[in-house]
Amino acid sequence: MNIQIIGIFVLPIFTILTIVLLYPFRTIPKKYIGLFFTISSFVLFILSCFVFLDFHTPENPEVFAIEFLKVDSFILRFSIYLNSLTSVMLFIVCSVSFLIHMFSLGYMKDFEYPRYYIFLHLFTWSMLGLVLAGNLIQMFVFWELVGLCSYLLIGFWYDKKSATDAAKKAFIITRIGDFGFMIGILYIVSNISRITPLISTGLNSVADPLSITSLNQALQAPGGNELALIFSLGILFGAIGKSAQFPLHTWLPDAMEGPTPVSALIHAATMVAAGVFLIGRFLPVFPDQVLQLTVIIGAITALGAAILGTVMNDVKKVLAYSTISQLGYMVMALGMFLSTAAFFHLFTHAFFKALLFLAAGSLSHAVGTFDMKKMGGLKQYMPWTYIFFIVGTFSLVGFFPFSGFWSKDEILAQIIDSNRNFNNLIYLVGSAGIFFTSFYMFRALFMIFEGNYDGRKNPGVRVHESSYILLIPMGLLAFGSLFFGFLFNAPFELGFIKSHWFNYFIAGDEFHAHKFNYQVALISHVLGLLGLISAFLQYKYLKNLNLSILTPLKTFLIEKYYLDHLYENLIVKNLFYSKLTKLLAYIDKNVIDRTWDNCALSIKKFSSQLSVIQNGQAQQYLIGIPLGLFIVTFIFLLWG
Amino acid sequence: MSNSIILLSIVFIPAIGGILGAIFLKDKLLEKFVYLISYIQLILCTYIYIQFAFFGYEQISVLYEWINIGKVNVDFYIKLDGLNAPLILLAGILTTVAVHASNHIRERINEYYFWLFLLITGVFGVFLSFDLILFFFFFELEIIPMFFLISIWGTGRKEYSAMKFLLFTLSGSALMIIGFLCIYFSSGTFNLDELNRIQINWIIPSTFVFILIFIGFSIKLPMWPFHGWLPDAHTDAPTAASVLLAGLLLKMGGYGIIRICYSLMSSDAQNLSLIISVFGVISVIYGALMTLRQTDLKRLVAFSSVSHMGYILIGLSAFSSSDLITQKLGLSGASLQMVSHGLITGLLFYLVGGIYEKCKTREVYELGGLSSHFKFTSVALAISGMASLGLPGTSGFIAEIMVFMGGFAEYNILTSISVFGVVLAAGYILWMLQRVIFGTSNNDYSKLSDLNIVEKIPVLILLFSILFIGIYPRFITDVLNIGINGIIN
Repeated sequence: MNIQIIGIFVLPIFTILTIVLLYPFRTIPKKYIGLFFTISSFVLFILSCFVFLDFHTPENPEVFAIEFLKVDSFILRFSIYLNSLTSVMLFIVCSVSFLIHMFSLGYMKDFEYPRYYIFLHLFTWSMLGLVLAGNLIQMFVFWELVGLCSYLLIGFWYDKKSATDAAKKAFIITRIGDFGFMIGILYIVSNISRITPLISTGLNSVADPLSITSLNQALQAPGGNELALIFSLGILFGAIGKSAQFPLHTWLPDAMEGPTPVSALIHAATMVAAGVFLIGRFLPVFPDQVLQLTVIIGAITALGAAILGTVMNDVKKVLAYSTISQLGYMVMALGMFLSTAAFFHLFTHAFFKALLFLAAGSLSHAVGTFDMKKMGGLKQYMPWTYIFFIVGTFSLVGFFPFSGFWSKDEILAQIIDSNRNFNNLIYLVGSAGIFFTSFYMFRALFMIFEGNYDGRKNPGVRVHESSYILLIPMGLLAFGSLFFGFLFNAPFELGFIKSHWFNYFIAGDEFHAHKFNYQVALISHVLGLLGLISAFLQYKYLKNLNLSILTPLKTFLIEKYYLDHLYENLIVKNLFYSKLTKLLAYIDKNVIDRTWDNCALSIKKFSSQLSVIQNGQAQQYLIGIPLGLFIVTFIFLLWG
Repeated sequence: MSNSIILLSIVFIPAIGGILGAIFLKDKLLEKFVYLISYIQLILCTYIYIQFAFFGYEQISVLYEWINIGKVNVDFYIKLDGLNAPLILLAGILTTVAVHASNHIRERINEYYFWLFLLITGVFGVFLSFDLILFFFFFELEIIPMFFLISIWGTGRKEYSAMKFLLFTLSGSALMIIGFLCIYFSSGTFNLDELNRIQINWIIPSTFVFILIFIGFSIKLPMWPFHGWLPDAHTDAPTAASVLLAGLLLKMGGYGIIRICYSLMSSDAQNLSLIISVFGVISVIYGALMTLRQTDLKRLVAFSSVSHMGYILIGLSAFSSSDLITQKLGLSGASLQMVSHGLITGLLFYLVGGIYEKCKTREVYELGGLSSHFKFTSVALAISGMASLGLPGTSGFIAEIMVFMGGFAEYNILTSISVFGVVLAAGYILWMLQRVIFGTSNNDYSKLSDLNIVEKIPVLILLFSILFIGIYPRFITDVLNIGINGIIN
């Protein structure tokens, strides 16, 4: 298995370096570059399958340690950390990335930019690096690289101002989260002398205090758990930024400016999954207060974003808010200490969300827009895309037997069973989210595919079904969205697949199988159907209804709770830029600079006054001599 | 060739070569000759660094008697140890970059190279001197050439800026020499090795001496509120001078603080480290906020230097810790930050100089869409920008995280505030990138060409160094640790 792991880590960066070094010499024709990268990602996918399906827990999860930085006894070891969660994440990242590479071959055909594939591959590599990282600081390194790649890809169409704006926003907002992560790291490093004695050096001859194993061990040990509070807050803060949780979620809807396959990658497997993954890595050390905070943030995000999804008219924006909302479910589950359920949802979500985004890409490829108002009646033109979109929608809403059902149900059922505080309230929030999810997804489905297509809205476009190179990856993802939930985590035995295989795989013996909760499933379905019906009613009968009572509410939602306004206009522009930095610039020019200038000027003035004395007149000098003598004598007499 | 001869030639090749070249050669021949000298210098510096780093950290020194009047004994004593070896490597690289950056100079080139190489000798001398008077001699030697470089070959309000630079630096020197003399009268020697060995009987409180010398160096660094000269001098200096000013001259301040203040007056350094940390934080945040307002590319980079130099002070403040590792992380981080900032800012100034040569403007709002025509410059600017905001994989990240790890253990609140400087850095760097290289251009660049192959070389060297240190930091940090051990013990 180690060979495959090394391969997974080395192959992407090797491919990138090969292209970067060879391309300037015109040795590789432009049109083969995409293919080259796709093959590389296919090999990655195969390798990850081996790791995932043939996984056996190694004796020591940390392998291949390299001393990255060394200051006396402080050693930063970069290593590979391998447990079942790692292998699941590898599988998610590699499979989704491969399908997106393949999709890009068709989708980005007109723009044969090596830059695109290099960034896409680098993105995959960074995420793989994060997943494999065995050391806290190593995680931060790849964490930042993931952020960089998303910046590069969101701003891919760099001559569009909205794209570079969105890229900048994504980078800076996630960096605010990284600030928290960094503080968490620094807090741990500064207390390293307290941590080191708490690590039992069982298998590791030298324990690295900053490794994931040691930290999880030390921060749970008595004496170490008081360090856990600030550390876990830092981790949570970082994850809020990266996984687009309230209140730092505003970058994700704007991130739609990137090419659609990139959005699929960001939303399914890489960028936003990073935050959830990070919390999952350190979940055991989270103290109760922080867990409660995590739940609250997750719940607010899950419901708040789902509500926003109901008013968006851009299909990618709808999907973006649905991602934020689904991430909210995961974070919520993590906050209830249900890491298996959270990661199972991450797993299924990766497939159906990638599918939905690729379907959106396919739509825009045909119609040339993402605006759902300009679509409609596409059912007969794009039957495959229609089917795939339906599969994605059913899975996202969580209808039986689609993947999303199993994972969302798992979360909700386990929340009900949980003995943590307010679990019923959280369950209600989660269920309410299902209604809104169902509403916005079916609203989108109806708006896009039902009715009649009006060609006048998109002049010059010939609507057509996408080519096979686009449909095949979507088909594969649709397969995953249909069956993976059931296959991997069925409540009963499926031939050679154990029941609750996924849960046992992640949690090991700690997982206790529970009975399938029919009530929860039933309520979810009722809510989902209600959402469907209301979406249908709204689409069919209330399309042109304008209730003046609802207008302020609608504006409030369309303005995204005014958060963007608050951040960008109020805080950054008005407060920060117009007031604070302006004041500083004034101080710099008129106080600090002027002070030094005045120093220089007053010395100049003083010296010119002093120069009056030296006037070359012997009489005055003669007066000076006795005067000086007198003063000196006086001083001597005084001090004796 | 023995190592000590190489060390000696590193100091004097630039000056002797510059003087000879400026006197005897003309035009094209002179330009070729200065390239030759700069590459010899680069090779020698790399060679001596590798000698030091990979063959047992043996200190290399040269000692001659210089001034010997009665009891006053000033030696020509230069030595390479772990602290200055990376800086010598940096200086070697930036010498080459500066020479490459000078090829657009057309007027009075003999004079120009004379001053440039005198300046470079001054820089190497400062880093290598182990005698206070010799140190001071080289420290002063660098001021005059820089004054002329700015005031003759500069742009804008060049005389004003040159004078400002001169006055600020000389006031710093005045404080410094008083401090040096206090040290001498307290100990009877100028030799740094000797001073480290013996117990100094201070005739006046050592805290006072510490503050004098510290202020002298922090003007050079520059620390808030002594930063006033920096933006002006940078903006108006020719590219090569900006590269050297930001890359090396500022480092003299940081290096001097560690080499002289911290090693000779360590207890004062420890007592005052809270104040140092406060000034560091102010420099970081103030510098970053000021950078956000700049629209002239050179001023932008200059103010970002104020911010980045603040990190050095944060690292230095870790010195008061009782934990040896924290001290070392802080001090090594601060030293690495000097090297890293030298490379990154050197590259930024070089690229900005290139853009100015081509587009005849440095105003951010007048530029835009450079990436369509200047692919190489844009990519390089983007990478150096990312390094400047401390992205992992670049030297900036390693330096910053070491500084933070050291500083946080000692002053957690203050260091946390300075960590926020990283977010602000993302703000100004990304804003600059968006305005300059992305978007569409409002000017016609079609007649202009990107950097040619000769102009690309320094960019490639610097990019390689930045990424190499970012990926394999032990190349530098292991050496620095040796140097820091010498300072702490």
